[in-house]
Amino acid sequence: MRSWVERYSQPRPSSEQPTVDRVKVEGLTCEKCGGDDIRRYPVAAVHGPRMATKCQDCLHTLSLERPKDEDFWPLFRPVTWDWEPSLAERASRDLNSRES
Amino acid sequence: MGTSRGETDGVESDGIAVNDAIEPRSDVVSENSNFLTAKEVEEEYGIDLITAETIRAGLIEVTRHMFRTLKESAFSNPVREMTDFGVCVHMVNEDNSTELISVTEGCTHFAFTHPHMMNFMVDEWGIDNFGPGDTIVCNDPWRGSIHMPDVNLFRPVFWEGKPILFLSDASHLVDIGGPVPGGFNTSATEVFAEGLRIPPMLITSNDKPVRSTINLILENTRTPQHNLGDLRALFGTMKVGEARLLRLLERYGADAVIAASRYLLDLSERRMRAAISRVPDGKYEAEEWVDDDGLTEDPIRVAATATVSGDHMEIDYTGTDRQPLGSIGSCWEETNRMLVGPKVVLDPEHPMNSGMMRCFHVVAPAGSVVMAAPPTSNCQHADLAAKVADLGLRLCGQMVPERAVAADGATTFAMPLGGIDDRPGRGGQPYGGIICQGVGWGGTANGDGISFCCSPIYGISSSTVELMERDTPLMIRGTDLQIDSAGAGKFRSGFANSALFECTDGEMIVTTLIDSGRKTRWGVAGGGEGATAYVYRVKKDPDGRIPRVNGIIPLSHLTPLSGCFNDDGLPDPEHGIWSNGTEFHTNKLTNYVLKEGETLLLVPAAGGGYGEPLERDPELVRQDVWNEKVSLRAAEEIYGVVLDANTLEVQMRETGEQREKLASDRGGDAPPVSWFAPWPRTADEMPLRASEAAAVGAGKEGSE
Repeated sequence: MRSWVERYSQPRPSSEQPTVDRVKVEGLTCEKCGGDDIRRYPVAAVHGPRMATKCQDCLHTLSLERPKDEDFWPLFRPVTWDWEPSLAERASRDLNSRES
Repeated sequence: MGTSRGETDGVESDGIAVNDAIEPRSDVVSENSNFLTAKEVEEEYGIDLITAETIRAGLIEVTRHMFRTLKESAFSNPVREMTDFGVCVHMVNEDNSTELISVTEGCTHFAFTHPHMMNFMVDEWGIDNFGPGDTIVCNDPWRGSIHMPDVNLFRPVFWEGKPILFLSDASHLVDIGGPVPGGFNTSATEVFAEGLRIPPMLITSNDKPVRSTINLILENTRTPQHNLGDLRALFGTMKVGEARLLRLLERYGADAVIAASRYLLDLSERRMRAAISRVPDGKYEAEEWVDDDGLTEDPIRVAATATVSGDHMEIDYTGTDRQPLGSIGSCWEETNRMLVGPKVVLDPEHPMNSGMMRCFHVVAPAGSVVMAAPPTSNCQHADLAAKVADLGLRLCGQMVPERAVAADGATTFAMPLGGIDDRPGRGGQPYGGIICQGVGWGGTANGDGISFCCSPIYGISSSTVELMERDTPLMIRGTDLQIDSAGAGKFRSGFANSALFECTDGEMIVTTLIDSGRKTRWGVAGGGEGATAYVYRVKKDPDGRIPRVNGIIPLSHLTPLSGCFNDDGLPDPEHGIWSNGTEFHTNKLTNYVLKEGETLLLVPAAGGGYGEPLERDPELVRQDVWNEKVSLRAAEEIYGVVLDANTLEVQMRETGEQREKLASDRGGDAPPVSWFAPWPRTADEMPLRASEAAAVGAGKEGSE
């Protein structure tokens, strides 16, 4: 597991032209074309950063998930990502909940 | 009721749907299969078509009101003059993702950026933590902001206790702090040297301004008096949008507005899927080059492969260079900016919303220049942006050749500036501004590219000369369409528009956002390449005058700062060598001190032409010569059009012969790069105006 601080500070890649690691997913078959070259990799989709599991033969999307911490996607994520909000940050919501 | 594309969208003209130039692929999709009848709309969304379309228009109207409000109330000159902003409405889906349902943008970017950024905000803040009257501010490029000078606001719209819609707006502040006025520090290698990075923070809570957030912004920027005005303008715009949305909700009910929003998103998706389906399956590849990062001299490759499969497209940036040391990288923005090209080429008529974005996935390698990793600098991303926009056009031009667009000048061609204003009555106040003069666009199958307009990716206006001179000690001594600079073609590009800027008081700190100085911009379908960009310091005559005709200034009055020059010291985009004998090895000057009385000449690149220049209507060439945009030499040597030097009338027989000769000489090779030659060394060698030449030739007295 990579440290949260790596999301803040990452070195410049040593590779002249970086690539995306398309991780092969074993045991899945494309429901559209029957292909078995299924890969999971980070994409920018309509809602922003997602992890896509796609057939590499026909590009059919088998699943599209919100990235987990270990996916390291998007590149930056604050350490406070899963912290509880402070009272100040929820003040209006709580105030209006009480009033209603 | 059967629906054709034209009937569905009400865009028929003389019985022919606008998009019918592209034949549908019958093996993939029939012409009508992707569109719904009124009955089907009612069955699918539980709302009648007329109401759905009325609400769709109503949502767009909300953003039009917001647009007008922000433009008329902003202090920032990029917003009030150049319309460098966008205003949006977003819908909240059941899984708490959001989708943009309407937008009015001055700058095209925002229509593509804010859908992603809105999702970044809701994911991080948490939908359950938003309250009525809350507004979030953020300018972080790693959370989807275009760059840090853009301050983006996001505000929920509550209905019956739930945030069902969101509004967003943005303003490009003239300063965001950091070591360089305007925030474009081309010498930065880290984001910390660029300005104030604002994570998502409350800037209003329960409709009250959050003092600590406002103080943070105003106390870390050079122009607090402008920035407070802009923040208030953004609040006001949100209030206008919220009031309009609530009226829409009150009139039609939330269920109908949500149903109509689902309908309009799906409609946009259907249209784009139909358009993609008409593109032959396969891979399409293209590349672009950024001159340099402002720090090192290496050009930067930006490449992409678009894979079309049925009605889906995946665009992969593999092959793109890694992030450079300097600030040219982009942190998220290129993932959505890449979709501008497909939108422009494949479905340009339909209003933008997130529905079309459902048809695409973009793959951007971490650490590449299009997905630069924190904490790298990224403030010069704008010139990468221009290249990415052209990259998208180049990919899609292969897919639909009849809609291909030649390259534009592909540079921001802007000059952020700042300093202390000691002019009488100014009280030594800090000032900031951005002057943006536009570039030449590429030729198309239908016509010449326009000039004097900002790169198409930005879609914004040029700044206003009079207001700039009022608000800052900058004098715009002139702007010219530079003769012979446009990429030649059956339809030529727009022209490079050179601009002369002079500081009239004290010392002005300027940055030049200029690229496309190293490589000429490409044409399509046999079109020629246009001129490259240059930066000069100008030497004035003792009386302060600068000899200048149609953008041409003799070398005796110029000190080359950057550009391509041949060994004779002449500017030469085709055979010259980059930074040969120039003071700088980049067009991206930063923290350049423009002293009182000093003048800079900035020349942007022109675009490429569309189609063979020897097929250009001779009458159009004659008009360009008459208007002093094309010289007699270029008319003859590039377009093969021979004009009578006295009357400027086309000599049809000689033109035919010349065109045959040039076609034979070129043997299918590309036409020469457009450029004025020979460049005059002294004022005595300056070209005569076309009208003067004609007058002199006819034995009449020339007129000044």
